[in-house]
Amino acid sequence: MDNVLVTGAYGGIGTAVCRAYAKLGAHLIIVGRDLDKLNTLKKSLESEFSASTTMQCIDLNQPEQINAMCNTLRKQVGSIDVMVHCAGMMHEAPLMMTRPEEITDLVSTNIISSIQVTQAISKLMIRQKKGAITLMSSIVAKQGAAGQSVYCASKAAIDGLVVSLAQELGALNIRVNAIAPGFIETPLVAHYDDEQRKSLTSKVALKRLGTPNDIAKVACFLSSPAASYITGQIISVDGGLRL
Amino acid sequence: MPAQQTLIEAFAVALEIEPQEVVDSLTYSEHPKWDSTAHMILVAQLEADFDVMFEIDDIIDMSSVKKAKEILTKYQPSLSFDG
Repeated sequence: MDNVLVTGAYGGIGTAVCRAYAKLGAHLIIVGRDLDKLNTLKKSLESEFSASTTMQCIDLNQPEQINAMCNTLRKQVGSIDVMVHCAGMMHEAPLMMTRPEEITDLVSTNIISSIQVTQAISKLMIRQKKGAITLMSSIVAKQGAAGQSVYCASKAAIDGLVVSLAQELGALNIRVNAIAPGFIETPLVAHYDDEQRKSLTSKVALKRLGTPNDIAKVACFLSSPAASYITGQIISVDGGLRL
Repeated sequence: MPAQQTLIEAFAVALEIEPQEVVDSLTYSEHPKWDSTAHMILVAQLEADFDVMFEIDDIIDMSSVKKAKEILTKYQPSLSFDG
């Protein structure tokens, strides 16, 4: 049974990813900073899928908490087979209207913590010379989007991390990929009104908005034996969206 | 198992070398098997075998077997690598 660690586990995409791996019989390590939300998710995964689940309530913006988590996991579960890093945040505003602390928060959450959690978790994959790391990019990393300059920059950084780290860790049989979602119906975009959704849908080739399950299925594929020769890739899951 | 033996086995496994080669003077990048990839494996192996979590500075500084002993002793002062 694979040990699968999911960050941002109770978010829209994170929950779908946890459910998909639970269906596959994985032992889940769910990570987030809200203990109540983690508890709710754990109960749901256990009752619905009889999933073996471990909780780690930490703030990924605190490197010492990441290291403490890894130390605990090394003793509790030994190694990690799969990490799906879903934690992240979005801030939408023109750059001229973005406060310095908002830039720092977004960079810290989306870039620095991604690098640090990947650095720490990859150490739990190295000894077994096997692992799959999947990060979350976004289609706006390449296409850009007005009002999302800092967010887009943070996701472009993820793309750089993935292609570089895949080369560093390839010799250890650890694969590193990213999913670049298009417009996915999650709480992050719950504030979009009907008009905005209609406008976005019209730009999607498949004429529907994405669901968290669309992302979860690709996450499961990327860590499966079927993807054993795939690394350093940014996989768009956007229904053919062109902004 | 004595710390010295644990250390030798960790180096031998991580670097894929003979235990006899694990001596204090064995140095990172001077032995053909101790490259950056092997170093990552070595760090993970030592952390597991000695139940420690190295600081990044210590991972960078771990440039020889002698240095590895010094660093491990910093985390676990009771360790003895005699014999």
